[in-house]
Amino acid sequence: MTAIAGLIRFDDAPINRTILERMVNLLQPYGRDAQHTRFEPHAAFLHTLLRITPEDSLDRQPLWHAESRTLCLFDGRLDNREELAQALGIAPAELRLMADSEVALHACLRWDAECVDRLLGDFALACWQPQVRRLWLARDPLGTRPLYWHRKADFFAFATLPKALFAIPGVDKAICEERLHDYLCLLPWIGPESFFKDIYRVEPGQILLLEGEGVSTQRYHRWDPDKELQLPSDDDYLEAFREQVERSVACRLRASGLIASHLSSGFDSSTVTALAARQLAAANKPLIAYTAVPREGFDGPVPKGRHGDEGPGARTVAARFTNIEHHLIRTTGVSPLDRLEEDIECLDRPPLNPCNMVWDDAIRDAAARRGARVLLTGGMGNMTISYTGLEYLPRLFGQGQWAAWWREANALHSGVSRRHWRGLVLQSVAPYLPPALWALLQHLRGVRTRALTGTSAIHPQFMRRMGHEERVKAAQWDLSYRPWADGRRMRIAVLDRLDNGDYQVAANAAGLELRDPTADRRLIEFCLAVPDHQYLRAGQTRWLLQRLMGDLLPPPILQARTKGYQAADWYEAFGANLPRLREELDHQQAKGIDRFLDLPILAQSLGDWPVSGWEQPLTMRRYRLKLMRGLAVGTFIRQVEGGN
Amino acid sequence: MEPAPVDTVAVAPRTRAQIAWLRAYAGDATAELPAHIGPLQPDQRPGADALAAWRRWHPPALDSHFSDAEWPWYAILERARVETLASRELPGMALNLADLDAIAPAGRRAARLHRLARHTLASPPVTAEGVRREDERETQGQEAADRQEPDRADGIPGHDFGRSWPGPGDPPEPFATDNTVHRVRVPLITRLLASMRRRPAGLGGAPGPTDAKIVAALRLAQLRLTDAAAFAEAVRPLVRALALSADQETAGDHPVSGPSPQPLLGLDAESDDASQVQEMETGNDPAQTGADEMSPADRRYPGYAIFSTRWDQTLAAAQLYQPGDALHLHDLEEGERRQARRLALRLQRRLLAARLRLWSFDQDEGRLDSRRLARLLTPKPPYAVFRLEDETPVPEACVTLLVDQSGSMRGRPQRLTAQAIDLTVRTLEFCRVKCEVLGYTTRYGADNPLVRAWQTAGCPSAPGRLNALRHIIYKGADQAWRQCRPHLGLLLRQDFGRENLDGEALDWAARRLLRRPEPCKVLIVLSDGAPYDEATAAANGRRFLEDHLRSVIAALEGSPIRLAAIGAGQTVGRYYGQALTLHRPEAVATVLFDHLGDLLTRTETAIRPFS
Repeated sequence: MTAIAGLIRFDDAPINRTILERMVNLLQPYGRDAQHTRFEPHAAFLHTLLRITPEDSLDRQPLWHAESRTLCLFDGRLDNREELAQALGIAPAELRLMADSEVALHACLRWDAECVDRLLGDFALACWQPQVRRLWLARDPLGTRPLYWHRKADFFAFATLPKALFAIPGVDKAICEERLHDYLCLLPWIGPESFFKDIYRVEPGQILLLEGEGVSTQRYHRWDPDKELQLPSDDDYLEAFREQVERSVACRLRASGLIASHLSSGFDSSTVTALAARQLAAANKPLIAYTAVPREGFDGPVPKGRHGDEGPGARTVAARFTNIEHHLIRTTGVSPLDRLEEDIECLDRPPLNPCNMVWDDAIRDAAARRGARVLLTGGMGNMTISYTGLEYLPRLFGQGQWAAWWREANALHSGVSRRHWRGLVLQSVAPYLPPALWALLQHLRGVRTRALTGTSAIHPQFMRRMGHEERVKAAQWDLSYRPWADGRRMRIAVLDRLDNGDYQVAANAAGLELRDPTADRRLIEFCLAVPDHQYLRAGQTRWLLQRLMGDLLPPPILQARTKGYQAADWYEAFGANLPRLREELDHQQAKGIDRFLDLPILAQSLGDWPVSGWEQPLTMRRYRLKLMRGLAVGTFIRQVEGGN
Repeated sequence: MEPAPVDTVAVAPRTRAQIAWLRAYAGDATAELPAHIGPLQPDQRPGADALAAWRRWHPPALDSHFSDAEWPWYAILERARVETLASRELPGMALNLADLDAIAPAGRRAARLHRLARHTLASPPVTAEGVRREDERETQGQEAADRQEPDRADGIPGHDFGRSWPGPGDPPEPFATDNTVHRVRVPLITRLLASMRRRPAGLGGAPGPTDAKIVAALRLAQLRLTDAAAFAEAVRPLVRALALSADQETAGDHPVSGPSPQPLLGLDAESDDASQVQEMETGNDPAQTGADEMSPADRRYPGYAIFSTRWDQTLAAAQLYQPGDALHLHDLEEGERRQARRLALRLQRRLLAARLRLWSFDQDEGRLDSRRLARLLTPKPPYAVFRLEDETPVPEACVTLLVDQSGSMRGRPQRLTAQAIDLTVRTLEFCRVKCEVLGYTTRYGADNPLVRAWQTAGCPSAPGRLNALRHIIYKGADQAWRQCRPHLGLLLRQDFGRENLDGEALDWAARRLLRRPEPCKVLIVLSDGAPYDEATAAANGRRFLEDHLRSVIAALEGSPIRLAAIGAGQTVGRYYGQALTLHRPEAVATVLFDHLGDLLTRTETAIRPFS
């Protein structure tokens, strides 16, 4: 993995080497193994490398093809090297001596910007043709690797993280209020805005073209909501699914160091860990698995339907594989506040779930200390391999397939999950209700507390100032979270709203690469195309995955009635730091951050600090979501705006 | 107080011959006297001689032995010393230097001190016992005088009370050889002493050491006239007293133990102006405010302006320290001493390993030099086929730690910084590396006199910096940390700092460091982000201070100084070429000292990521 950046001047002024020096310094933590620059008469490029794959030792970026006068910067990992090599006429022996970046360069030379649709893996790419003064930038469809840019009258600059752009004199560090509003309201991240004013992102699945001094963008990839895979039998679906999942795991095991995995007691991480362990065992390699658990002896309350200690479930998975080295990670006494500033600094954005950052950081640190280079996760599993298929009910209902609907609803009611009829009916009918009726129903059900200000620290005046209603409409996002009628569109909406590239890069700072087999493009396309009846069958949700992993995962995982509740003891360390929290809120108030956040309400939350009832949804929303997220956002604003 | 850089001092035009004479006589001058300390008429022959004497006999390294507040006083006494030496050695020069009016520094008090020092140092030396006895007599006389009515004092024999001190209108002392000078001056000194008995206060009636005390101190220093370092040591108590009294004199705006601005030496003590050291450097009219009032730093950075330097301060931490500050130091207590020793050993090993090997060839003993073995085949000696390995001493280094003390550093960054400083200074002391600790912030918050002055002036556009600097010296390079460490509590005081004007602070610290004699100069800035002053940013835009900081850094990175920055909690890498960030206390030791080792041992080109 690399961090990349470039600076192109539109005038005849030479590039100030000092600026590039600063940019390298700022990106060096994310690519600690090598740093290189290339200076052209009116352009300069840099890359900092973190060697993860064996081929990374061959990486010599920035790559310059003298014949075509093309420069290529590639940040990422190619999962279809062999396929690309075949198409490009690269011999296998030659391929073995090529870093992924060189393969990408060959692809750029052959197909120009159209190559990006052929590249599979996590990547961000920059290609510069000085003769025609043309630059194009691209990111993979999931935006796994980030890329930001800034344009002024006399220059254009891009970088993996915004912080490198701020090294350029004249690029101011200021908050982008539109993005901040959308983030606080949990609206989808659509459009090029970043958290910083005048700093833009290349969107996932997008190509940005700079020709002369003009900038244009085009989307090269969209998830297809209408494509449906039709296979003769259930077994064929299962086999195709098996092939896809195994391949997505296999191509993420290419590393020059140990492989680690985050193993919770959930379906996704268990599946990834189990499949990776089996494949690594065949190569006689170990897998280091980490599970975050509460402090020793913790018996605090957890929300209904959740379990606080994921250790026992994870242990049953680890016990099935002799090559799994299992570690429990406890973050006793560590408050989310302890590393908040450091995390924000590293991410260049506020973390969405500061609670989870505590154990996430701890796992990364432990894995890095153990010598791991890759940390496997299953973050996208809910939208891919472990999709429940529950949207099948409203779909059947909407299509008038009453018999099929009844069969599935009844099975869900009487089956393992024991779902209530009221919920099943509401889920089936709600997508077709007029919005006003849905709102009334929500009101009658007493879910007013789910109003935005119940979970978000955003200041109502800020919402009004930003034209909240219009922005919600423009984003085409339903903040009442009405059930979807189409599971495929629902998943695509979720995929499109995410941009987690910054988190991926932040892991590089720990010396690791995060890899999520459940976020494989081919696997996602496959999972989206699989008909809903393969996910929900006879009252069994995740039917496809259940069948795939039936022999591999232990019953505590397959038949779990509760879900893991991460960082169950979060409030203990958090509550032990109330004076610090108050100090931070006071600081934010003094800095005028109350123009964005409802700081008095947050301060009141501290005054009302509960001694019990942490499992109550209201309490969770008020403290774990609203207060924590608000603090994180406030700290981020404070860092950005500076001042004293 | 450091002298202003050569290029910014207002040097009056000189004749070509004078410049050539200066160059020939003074050699390659390394230090220039600031205009306000130097002679009033540098373009005239006496003034040129005074400057030449300064260059010839004054070692610039001694300047760093004094704080900014003390240095001007020391410089005047030192001027008297070098001029006395010059008069003794070069009769022709003595004639010119006898014109005290022409070579007096600006301001009545400074001129009086200069005159007194010249007279005292030129008088026949007395033994230390003699000085003591004279001092006792003077004290008794003073007590007696205090008991008498003022007009009764006039009756003391041997005193011409009509002209107690030579004033501006006094005729210059006639040229004389050493002996004649003594003959002529003895009665004058007697007259002076008598006048001192009549005037209990110090220079010009200002508070501080009495004139008799000054003469007594100078008499002791006179015994070390040819040894500049010993002279500096001898006058140090006197200099300190003069600086302190000057500070007390203007402490009106800080009631208890708050900061007391330095008076402008060139002004009368009666002046109600709280003129600051910075003004003294620039020679600005303190009453003047406006964008045209530029400090030395400004002229080198054309985009930068200062509305007024009138309220700027440079103070020793001791002057701001309060007993309550000691409590803050408890967090940084003794447990770290062991860690400092361990780190020091590691750093020492790195410094030793960095020593360049120096080989002496053709030796009669030592290690066999295989390239010279062929000599053994020749019939004639010498058979010097050995080589000896010497260690080139590591260049002496001076490290300046410059600490941002703005409000945003409160809390964790503050503690991180204090911990880092404590460890660093201790470690460097173990390694015998000179170290200076400086702090910076601004003086004013909402109630800002600069803003009021700017508003009074009709809010002209782009007024420049609109807050007053507060530069603090925690530890001079030659001071021991055990003496200065208690003042570190000031760094941890919660309500102390306001804004941070990094560019000017960096420039100030760099100019101090450049004066140091050590060839290896390292400047480490500890900050938490961008320079910021609300009033300045509001009037000039956010980029104003940032651009200035970038300009100063660019200038420094082309200088002999090795510049690095440490971000306390936040990265400062977008400004500095060499930057690292401290997030957790446990990282201070590992991260900081690795970096420090790099700075002290690597060659200049190796420090930079790019060659």
